[in-house]
Amino acid sequence: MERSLGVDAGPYRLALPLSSVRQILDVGAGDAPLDPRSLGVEPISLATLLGATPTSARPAVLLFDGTADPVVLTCCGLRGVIDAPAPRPLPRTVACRWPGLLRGTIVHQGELTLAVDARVLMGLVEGEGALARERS
Amino acid sequence: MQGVLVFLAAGSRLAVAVGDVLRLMVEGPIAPIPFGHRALAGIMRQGDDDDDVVPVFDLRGLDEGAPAPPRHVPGATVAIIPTAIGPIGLRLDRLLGSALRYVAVDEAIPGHIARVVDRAGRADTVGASLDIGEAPFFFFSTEAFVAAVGLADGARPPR
Repeated sequence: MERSLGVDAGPYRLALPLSSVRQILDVGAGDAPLDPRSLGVEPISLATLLGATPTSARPAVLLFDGTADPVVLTCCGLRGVIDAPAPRPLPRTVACRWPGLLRGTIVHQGELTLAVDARVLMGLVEGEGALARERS
Repeated sequence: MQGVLVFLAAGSRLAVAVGDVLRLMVEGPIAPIPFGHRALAGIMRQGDDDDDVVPVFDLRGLDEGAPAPPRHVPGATVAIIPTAIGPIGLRLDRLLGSALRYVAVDEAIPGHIARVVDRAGRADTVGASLDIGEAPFFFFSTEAFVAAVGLADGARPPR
């Protein structure tokens, strides 16, 4: 069995390896919108990172182990801890640009959930960060 | 001559050999895939096995000038069709029926489906008129489809 944290990021239902989530800084929900200044660092929206639109004005905030430094990510909702067998790899016919990002699928509460490879995700975060620095 | 299943997909009349359709399903919940091809709606469970999933494609996504297809069309018919690299689910607008007899005709292929139509040159698969009504249909080619969505030879779909 593998333990992961179920999250929503825009339209995506994801499972993040629990071992790579250092801390849940904010569980989200509630009425007050997130103030990035309270975190001391600009968080990165997981939904935006994956090319989608966030669906929550009050996202949950996670501290992640990056490859070099910790990374603060926001997600639209938390679904709790998932204990599930190793993910089943995606069919080869799934046409996507970052096939390594997804380790496969697990079924949680009757719904398909995409298991994310944390190392590839952090590569994506750092790549986006470099792009943002180039733009500014 | 093998019987064909004729359907409407992305507004065009297409067909596949009846023996090439693994099953027809009603579209259930779809899990979208990050960075998926425009034509990829997501993945859907098939069969009784929880882990048995199939990608569902909507051919409207191949027309880059048109709006992106919806992620989910509850109740749509999905044809599960084998390809050289595994099965795909093809979202149908409507299943039109089957035909045992058809003849080849010279018909211009609509632009937005040209990339997924069989051009192998066999006279009876270039295009045909059908017992079901008068309108011609075109044979859906899994090889052309796999190439059109960037899955051929391990290639990645275009950005």
